[in-house]
Amino acid sequence: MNVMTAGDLKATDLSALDNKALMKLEAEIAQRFMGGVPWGSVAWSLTNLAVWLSLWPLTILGIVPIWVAFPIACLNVMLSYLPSHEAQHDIIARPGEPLRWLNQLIGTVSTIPLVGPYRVLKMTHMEHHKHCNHPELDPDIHNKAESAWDFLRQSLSRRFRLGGGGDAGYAAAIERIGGPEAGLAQRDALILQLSYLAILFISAWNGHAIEAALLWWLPRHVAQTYIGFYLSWAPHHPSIETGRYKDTRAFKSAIGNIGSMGMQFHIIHHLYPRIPLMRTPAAYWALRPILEARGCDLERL
Amino acid sequence: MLKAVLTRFFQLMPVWFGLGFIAPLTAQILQHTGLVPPMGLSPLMVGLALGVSWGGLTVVRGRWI
Repeated sequence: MNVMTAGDLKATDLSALDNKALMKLEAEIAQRFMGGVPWGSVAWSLTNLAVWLSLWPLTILGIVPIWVAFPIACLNVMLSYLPSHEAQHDIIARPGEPLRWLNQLIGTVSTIPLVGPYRVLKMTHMEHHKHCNHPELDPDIHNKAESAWDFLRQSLSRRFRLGGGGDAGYAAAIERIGGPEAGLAQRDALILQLSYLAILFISAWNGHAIEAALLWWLPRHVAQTYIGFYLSWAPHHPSIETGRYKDTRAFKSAIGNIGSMGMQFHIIHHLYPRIPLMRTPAAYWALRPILEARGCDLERL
Repeated sequence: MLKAVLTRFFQLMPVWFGLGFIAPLTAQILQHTGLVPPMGLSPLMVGLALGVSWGGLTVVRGRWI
């Protein structure tokens, strides 16, 4: 039955294929976008961290004014999550592969500016994939909102409430997962959180409170809002349906694909999590006819 | 035991945050802007008063704002 290739997709009536053949064709096309080390993400992670770290001495020594450093720091913290996300899916190297150490290194150091413990992020992200849009089991469900403005309102409101941030959902998920790995995740979260606060307090009491506020504390809040919006709310909106072809959508971002950090094509990530971020646009265009045939929400993209 | 201590410590986090961060931040903002606190108070005294009271109120009300 399945004799067509990806190149034939546009010209062929996919409705002639049964479910099994369509699934096989989809997997064959997706497979072409997997494999290899995403060196772009590795360079992104290390460069981003180096730039953010360099802002501290540069501002404290008065070489770079804080008003110049602040937007750069915001960008750095916003950019810090996605390379770690590649590592969470073992895209850089799988267990047992020679570059596994690099996968774990990128996963761990990338999100230091975001104060995101790798083990927690990985465990909760796997739960998100497993239970996407589930009202109780998806750790990211707190980002569900009726509109972009509603997301912003809820995001800020949660932040003002004690224990009401996204961390609460993640902590509950870790507790639910349980086991030794969950215990290590809780330990990592505690160490990272206490280190973050210690650095803020020590910087502040040594005369660098404004630098600490504008290089870390406020950029982290800006980044948490941005990441929650583009990596969670926008691709899963309206976060009602569950299921392989229904829990994520393609969407047209007002600030383009780079501005939304590739999240316009997040549907590809949920279907094939091992496709590197930078290849998801090409994979989307190759798979689009199948996604359309599957009834996915592809909006105007 | 350790869990109980840490839980209590984190419950009071707004106070620690007020003391450890808001207080010196307020003082340094006052110094940078050249604003002079009233009644002969130093910028750090204003920062400590604001940080500790804001943090304490947050613990009681359960909300920063």
